[in-house]
Amino acid sequence: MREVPFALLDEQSKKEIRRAILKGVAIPGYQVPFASREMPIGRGWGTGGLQVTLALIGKEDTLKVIDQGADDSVNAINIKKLVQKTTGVETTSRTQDASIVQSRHRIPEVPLTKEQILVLQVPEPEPLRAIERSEYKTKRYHAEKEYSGAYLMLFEQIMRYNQTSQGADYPVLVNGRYVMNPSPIPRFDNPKIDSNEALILFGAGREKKIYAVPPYTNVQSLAFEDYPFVVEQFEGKICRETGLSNVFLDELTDEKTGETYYLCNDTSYMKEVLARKVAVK
Amino acid sequence: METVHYTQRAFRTLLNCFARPGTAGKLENNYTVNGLYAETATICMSLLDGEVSFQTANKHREINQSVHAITGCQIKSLEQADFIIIPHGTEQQQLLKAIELAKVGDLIDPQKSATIIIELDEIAPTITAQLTGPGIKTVEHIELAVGKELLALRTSKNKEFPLGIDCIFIERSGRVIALPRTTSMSEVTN
Repeated sequence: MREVPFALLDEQSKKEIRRAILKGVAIPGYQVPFASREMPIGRGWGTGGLQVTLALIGKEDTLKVIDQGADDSVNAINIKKLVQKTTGVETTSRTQDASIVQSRHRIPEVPLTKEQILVLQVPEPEPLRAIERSEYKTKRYHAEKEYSGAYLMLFEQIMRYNQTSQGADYPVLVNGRYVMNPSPIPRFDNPKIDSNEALILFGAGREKKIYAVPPYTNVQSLAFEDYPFVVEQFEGKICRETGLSNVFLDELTDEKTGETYYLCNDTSYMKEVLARKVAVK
Repeated sequence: METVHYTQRAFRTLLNCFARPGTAGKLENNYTVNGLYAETATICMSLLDGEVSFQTANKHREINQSVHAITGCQIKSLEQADFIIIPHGTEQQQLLKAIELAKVGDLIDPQKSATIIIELDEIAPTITAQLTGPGIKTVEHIELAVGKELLALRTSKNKEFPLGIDCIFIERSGRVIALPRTTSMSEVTN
């Protein structure tokens, strides 16, 4: 039997993904269709992000994989192992040391640099899907820049709750042209996409779409004049371990005391801050 | 096995050039096709296969056959080709004609547009241009050995975003610069 090719995918599959990535970069926010190969993990478990990563990665790369801010959750570990086994590249949990960061549902707290590429796993790339089931129609809405549906969705939330209740995957307008789902990152991370130093690539394996936001690209979260875009507020709340307050926090309950406490969601950043504190002591 | 790494490196160089228009990349030159710069052959090796099509600006039989032989890429008319290769030494008129005919995609499928791979003849740059757009922090300045007509034609092909053409320029020195359709370019006179 032939040995597994470098980075698992055969050369033809990689070429197809690479062409889609280049088109994506040339048309920021536009969902480029691609074939989406069968992967050894289930669709919906990061196959889109994984295929993008495999098409990018070379021997010199260092990979970081995060799942909801954690480097050590099952999804992240398995993807990291798969890439590591088929390429032999180094892996890391330090954001600063990675050349490729594949992520599910978070953009790291540590700012990305221009030497890095962020790959986000996307479950639903279509921002208009909630209001229109037909792909045939949504493609035409994008063609005509007909985005009232996306605004209507937010408007209905405001009518119901007097605020937008879209917690994650809050739609953005890219380069003044395409409305795009930023993948289910919290609203807190939306401003990070705007004019980021790094190239950001999005892969939706099940929905067979690849899209991109080049560095220094204008990305604005949808909003209304009287209801501006706001990120999650953590006023008066701090991470129990690090004392940080300017990061995205997870709310947890102490099972013994029943007390509510908060932790920094980006675990590698939390560890780094803690290590620095220990060093100071 | 080695080509796998070769094309991977080439792709990453191209990706960086696309993501940061104006950034000069350097491609390797291990493969040759008669009549083309080695760097162009590298681009063909990394992006072309039987799923897509190409054509040379001057419909050069020999080059077409060689590129087809190393990539399996289909040869189609200039109007239909996914990639258009403009070899160095192409007459100005043929060059402009090829870009004129290149497909720009449609509003529903803007990705069905041509990528133009242009080999530049001149060694000395003829124009200095200012670039703005996605991938560029404020402005980027580049020197490029291209004619004014080519720039004007590129601008007119790209006037209706998201429709347009993406260009990859390859200099004799092997320097590679990509200008995706989002990059607006204006000449700086000094």
